[in-house]
Amino acid sequence: MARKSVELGLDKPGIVQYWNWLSHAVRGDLGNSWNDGESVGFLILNRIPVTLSIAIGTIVVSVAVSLVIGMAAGVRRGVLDRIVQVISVGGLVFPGFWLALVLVVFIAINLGILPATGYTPFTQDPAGWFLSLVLPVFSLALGAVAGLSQQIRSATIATLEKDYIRTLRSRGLPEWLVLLRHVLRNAAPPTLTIVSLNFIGLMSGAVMIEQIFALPGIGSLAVTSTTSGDIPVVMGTVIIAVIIVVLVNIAVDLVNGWLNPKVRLS
Amino acid sequence: MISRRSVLQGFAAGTVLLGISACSSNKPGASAVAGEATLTLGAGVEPLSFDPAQSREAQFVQYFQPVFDTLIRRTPDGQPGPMLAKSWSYNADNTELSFVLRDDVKFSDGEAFNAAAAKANLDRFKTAGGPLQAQLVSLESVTAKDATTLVLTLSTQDPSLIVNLGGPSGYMQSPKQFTNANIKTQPVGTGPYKLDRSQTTPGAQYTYVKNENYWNKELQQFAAIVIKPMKDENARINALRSGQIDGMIATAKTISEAKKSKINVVEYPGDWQGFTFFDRAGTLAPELKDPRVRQAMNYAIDKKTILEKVGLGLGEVTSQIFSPESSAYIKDLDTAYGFDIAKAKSLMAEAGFADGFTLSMPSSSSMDPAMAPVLRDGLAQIGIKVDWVDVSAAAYQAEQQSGKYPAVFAGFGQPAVGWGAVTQLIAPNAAWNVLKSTDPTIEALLRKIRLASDADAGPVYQELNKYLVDQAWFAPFFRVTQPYYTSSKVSVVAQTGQAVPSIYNFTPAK
Repeated sequence: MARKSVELGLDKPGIVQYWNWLSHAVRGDLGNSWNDGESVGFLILNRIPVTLSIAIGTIVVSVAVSLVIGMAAGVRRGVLDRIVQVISVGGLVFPGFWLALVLVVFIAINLGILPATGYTPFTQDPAGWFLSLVLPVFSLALGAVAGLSQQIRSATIATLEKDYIRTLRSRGLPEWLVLLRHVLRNAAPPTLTIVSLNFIGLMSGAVMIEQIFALPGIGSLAVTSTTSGDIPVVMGTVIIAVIIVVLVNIAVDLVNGWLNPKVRLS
Repeated sequence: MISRRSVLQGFAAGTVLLGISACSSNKPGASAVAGEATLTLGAGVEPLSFDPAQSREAQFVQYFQPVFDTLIRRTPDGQPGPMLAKSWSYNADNTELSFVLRDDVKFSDGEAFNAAAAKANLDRFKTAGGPLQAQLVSLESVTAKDATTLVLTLSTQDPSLIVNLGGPSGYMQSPKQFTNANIKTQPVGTGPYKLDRSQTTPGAQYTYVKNENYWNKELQQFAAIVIKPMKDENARINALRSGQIDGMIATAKTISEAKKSKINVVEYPGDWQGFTFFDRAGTLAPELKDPRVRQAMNYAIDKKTILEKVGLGLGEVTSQIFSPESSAYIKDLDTAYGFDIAKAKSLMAEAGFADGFTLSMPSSSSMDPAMAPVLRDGLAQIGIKVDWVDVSAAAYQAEQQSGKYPAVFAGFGQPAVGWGAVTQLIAPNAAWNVLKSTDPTIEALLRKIRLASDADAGPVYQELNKYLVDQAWFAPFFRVTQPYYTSSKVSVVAQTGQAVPSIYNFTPAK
């Protein structure tokens, strides 16, 4: 026990241990897992594609769906608007893990058209990869669509009422051009903020989804290493999560600036 | 701005992808022909290393058996049968064990398997500091007399050695790999299958392909074995129901759902659960020194109700620690301590503890959440206040064995050979006899068992069993039923004394 403590550096004061870890971490060395001696960097690199596949897949699907139904509801209003509202409330009411369980039972088990669990790496089998992501992405996307489509709908309605839209229409600009170039662009900044918040939320939502679908991602790694007290791996996953959050925020700021010159000036 | 062409390209790519996915089967698993099917198992654990010296029992055996043959093969009824060793025999006083090994076996790296290789493996297991190193504690030296004769000299008689050599301590690895830096990830044995690294992703799946040069084709019922670690039991059941896996370990909680889903359910005796009193000498909790207090605790627990409500009725109430398969088992002892609060109270009063006392025991999130409050309430009826000390699941076992607690609530496997329970729980140096308790009666009985032949040991084991129950060394509640589920594509035979069936017990369904 004593020999192992020395080997792991646990005999040193906490601050020294932290400095040792930090000085290695900034050089890209996150240490080795206490459980199996595997490098933390390797463990994370091995699993990050899974979590990113789910998170990015969910964002892509939810943005695409929200854009279509949010804008349609904002432009057409009436019955369509009400249907979108009902879907949104439904999406907010049903938690992702519940939806995941329902989807597994009906789509995977009863109909047998998609795998119930597991992950196939893209490099091994692109079709298998795609199939293994459908249910996890769909169960997470519903909640994301609910919030996002509402945001797009209200931004669309607000923008459509602006004087310059009336001016543009009066100049005979085609409606699709007005919507895509002007309405969408003005509705984008608050929407992007929600997308970035969704993405960050997905990193934690993935923990539950990864358990249900037995996906070997960062979420399940964090859970296993936390319960087994594997501190280097826990620290590694936290660091990676922080880096992802910072990168997503920077990316959102950049895209906002690209879309909206006013943001660039300020 | 996204151009129209790129949108079209995107659509085209998506359509192709969907087309591919429609063609590809999402249902791997067995086809009907023996030897050509794939056996896919869901596991609740994942090995941290493929080095046999670091391996464990329980569910881990399914990861190791495809690659590593053992000296002895455990037959499904828990008895030892030949494998790499064709036969074995003891000397007159059971301190020298001689093996005759097969001469037609090669490791998958081309090295020959012989007595020298077996010796190298046993020597290494004994000194490598793995979690099961104690399995070879009685092994003093190993001699390779010639290529096929291996002699094990023991410091003391060890009736469980043979059964142990059918598990981790008997895994044979190519000695050439001992110094290989990749020993944790690239196992090399003589087994029926080889780990295929190209189809293996840690955390997701481990793929084993047929070893074409294997010496016993009968043990190769499948073309490949795939093991998928899935920690969540519901995820495993979903995978089984949707045809992604063919077999999985389960708990009693899902058994009724499984039966409704037309999953094949194999039930066999699993762990016994109950209190293990470490402090029979009364150093930490002086009250436990009095056998009447330990007996009172046996009477105070309503085992039947707990088994029905918490264990969903899947198991059998008992008061003894020995397996029904072992020669130590006495059926009547299952009912030795019924639920009798009046009797428990009077025993407490006789022992001078009518007002009760406080007992500290560790608990963790890995325990059934209902268990701690139920046991606390049961003991409170006879004045014993349980102070549950919550510890992390990871540290639970180490904490239980730390010597800080006079008693623990725990579950233990029931080896088919009584000596397994002795070396685990009863002997003064047993890992779970934490405070090294013993007494002259037990010492004398253990000595008698060690010297007795297998045929004569039965009555002595039974004497030991009666004494342990009478002295209330333990307070066993019940033996739980261990379910194992399979799909209709495979058949399986339960393995006595092992948490999961051996891979040899699976065959494609006829």
